[in-house]
Amino acid sequence: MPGNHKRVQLTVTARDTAAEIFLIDDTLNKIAQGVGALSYTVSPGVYKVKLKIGTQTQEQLVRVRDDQPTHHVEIAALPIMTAVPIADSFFSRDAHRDAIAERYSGAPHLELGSGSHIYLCARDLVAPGSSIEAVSHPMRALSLRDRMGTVLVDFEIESERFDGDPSAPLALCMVAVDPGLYLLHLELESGLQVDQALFASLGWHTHIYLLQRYWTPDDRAVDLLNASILMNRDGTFDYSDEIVRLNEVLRLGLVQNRPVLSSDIVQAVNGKAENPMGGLLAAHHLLLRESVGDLFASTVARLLELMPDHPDVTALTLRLTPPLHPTGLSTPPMLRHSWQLILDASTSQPDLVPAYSLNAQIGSRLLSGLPWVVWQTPDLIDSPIILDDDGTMGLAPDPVPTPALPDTRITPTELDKTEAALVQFKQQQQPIDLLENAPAPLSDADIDALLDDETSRAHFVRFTNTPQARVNAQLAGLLKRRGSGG
Amino acid sequence: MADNDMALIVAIDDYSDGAFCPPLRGPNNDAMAFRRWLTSDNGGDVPGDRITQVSARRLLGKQPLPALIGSRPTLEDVREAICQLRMSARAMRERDEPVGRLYLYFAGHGFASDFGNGLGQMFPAMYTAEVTRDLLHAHLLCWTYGKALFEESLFREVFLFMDFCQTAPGQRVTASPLPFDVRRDELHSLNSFFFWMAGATAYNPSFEHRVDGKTRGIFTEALVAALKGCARDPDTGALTAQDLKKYLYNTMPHFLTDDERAQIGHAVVEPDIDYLPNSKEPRSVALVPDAPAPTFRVHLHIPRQAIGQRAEITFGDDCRQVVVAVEHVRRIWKVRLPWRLLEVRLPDSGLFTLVEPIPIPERVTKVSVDAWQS
Repeated sequence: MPGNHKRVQLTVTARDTAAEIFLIDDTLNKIAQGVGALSYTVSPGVYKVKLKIGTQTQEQLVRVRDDQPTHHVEIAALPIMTAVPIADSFFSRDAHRDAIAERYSGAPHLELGSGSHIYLCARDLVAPGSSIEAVSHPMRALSLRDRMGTVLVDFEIESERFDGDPSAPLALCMVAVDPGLYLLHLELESGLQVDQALFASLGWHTHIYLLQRYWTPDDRAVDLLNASILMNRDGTFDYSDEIVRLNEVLRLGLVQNRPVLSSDIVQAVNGKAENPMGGLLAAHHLLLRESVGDLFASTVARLLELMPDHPDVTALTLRLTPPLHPTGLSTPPMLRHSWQLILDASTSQPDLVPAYSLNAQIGSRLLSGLPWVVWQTPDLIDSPIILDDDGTMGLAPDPVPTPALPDTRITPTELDKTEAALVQFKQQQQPIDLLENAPAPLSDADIDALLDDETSRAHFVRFTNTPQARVNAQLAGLLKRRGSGG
Repeated sequence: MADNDMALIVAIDDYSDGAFCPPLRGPNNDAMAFRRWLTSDNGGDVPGDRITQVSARRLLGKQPLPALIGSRPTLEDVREAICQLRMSARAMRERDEPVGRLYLYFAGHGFASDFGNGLGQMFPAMYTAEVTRDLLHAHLLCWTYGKALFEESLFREVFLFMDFCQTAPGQRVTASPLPFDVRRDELHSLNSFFFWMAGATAYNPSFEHRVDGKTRGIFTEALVAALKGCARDPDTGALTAQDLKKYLYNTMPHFLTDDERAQIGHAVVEPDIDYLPNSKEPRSVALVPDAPAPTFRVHLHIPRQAIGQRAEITFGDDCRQVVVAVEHVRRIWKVRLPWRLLEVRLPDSGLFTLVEPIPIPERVTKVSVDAWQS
């Protein structure tokens, strides 16, 4: 907007410190953006201010005049998409909030161990007049399993139901557990089975809030992909709306893979109020911004104080400068972004993820939603998961099984998939003759080349979403099957 | 005529597993609307024989459709069409004919695939007709196809339009490979342009609705309106890739009626638009020759005390440029305005309001008496 008029400092602040703000000029071009607040010098005129949280947006037109040196715009809260029943959210119900607060102040429903707790809250909300019926049970088909797949809790049986409103059923289940990895397992009528990694840290209550989604046109069950997960020390439902909102806005940003962070937010999550889930989310936002300086280091340091045993914290230490060098990460992290850190690091550190661990096998089965690590459960007959003996993990290495006969632990089906992936990988990496349209058959030399070339192998790790050690075992198995290897 | 431009249009309404992919009614209508723009003199101006359209009707001809519903086009049908198109483009290049522009258009059911790229980027993928729950590899990684054709530099520009959902599938989907090996031409691709637009962002659905008795995809409806001129810069009359992007981001939700918006609840109606950073700037790529930008209907309801007074509509630096002014404004001031942010002033009453005309033909932007400020 050229002209001789004086300039005005336009400032915009949002109620949510992690909300994205966009400033758009009168020709509808974006001219500035910020997180939580924005300050930009403009010519007097008409502007559009757009607020974005997750997938929700709100716009307002603003007239900036030249009679004041500054112009301030304050934007009220925008309802957010969260499964936690807080104020200014789309799925809030006072009755649910009251029931949770009351029940969570009491004793757990089950005591399977000690040192950590998993609290599960599942709800359904059906709009009046909707053709959708509320689910028969908000925790239908959901169980808690150990890393071997053994059922520990059938939530449909063990949970406590609150059925005051048939269109908004609520179920809660509070379980005391030993620290370590657990799986939230969903088994649908269509046969589809999915698992979500859930790590119970020593001294922490992990709260999972779930709504429902259609997994297939016929199967409506808990929406693991959009779970809201919070952590506190005492298990009470005492979250201030501020902390929940901050965590949820950070989660929604990660879902969209958009960095929504300011130094104020990092200081807030690193402060006295213990908010380890907020810290995990904030650390990944810093990485999305490619910011691995002091703020990142202090965030990871705080997380190491709060929960040194957590696989997501271990994953974040891989990006410290200098990096820590954990090994034997057999336990999947909870966040998909943490998984990616582990996968990337495995390309230069093959012993990071043992070839026959659960962590090595889930990559090719991960569902594509963010931010949680959720995978399609393997067919146990076709592709046995070979697990480590040690149920806990930390910076100390887990025992690594000796791969005396590597290929015997990888099924023919997995080798078929590896071979198919190799053909596709070769197509994308090695262009051949201009007029050659049919892909050349895969040769042993192609496999050998991949085994020998570190860069190509690293690309293949990312291409197949499979850690390095597992890829090595797959390639060795493939060569052996073709009769030219080991 | 854009003799060296080419286009591939893929539209799928019906799928073999109706429970997995319920029938759609929009894709073929959308494909025809896009094709009409492509072939029009003041649109894409692409010769009809350079457009490959892949749809059940075209593949099956006059065969009785009910028995064959959902059987075509298959993954192989589309792959074959892409290979044919690619070979034609190669033949042109070998004859030293100037390289043209490629339009790729896909409409049907789709999802967000992360295969082969980890977290950094989602690939918009569209199911082909034979897909079932057990045959999930029957899909096209549309973005990957567009990028491969861009990298081969067989075209000056590649425009990829995708009108399908990008929801997260409830189960793991293995990748469907490209039907050809990519021969990258990095030198030429630096001077080329790859621009893509999807009707939904990653993990979100796209929508269709009824318009004038026909079902249409919201994204394609907005896209075609933009291409027909609604997205033109009001000052220059240019219609560049940047103008297209700006239009889709700002106006797509306006293509839904209030009732439709209420029906879709909290779902986001937002396109996903980007281009490769090593290619040209979107502002420098014009889709059609410059022409005057259209104006749009606005009805301003004037507060009682200001009726009959002077009124003016302004824009620009401190809103000093007057678009239109009247000496005696009526109760409802009906006016056509360019698509930009404007200030409407009633100087004698000291009242003003701000307005952004909805840039959709025949749509009326209404400004109520409550919208005025002093």
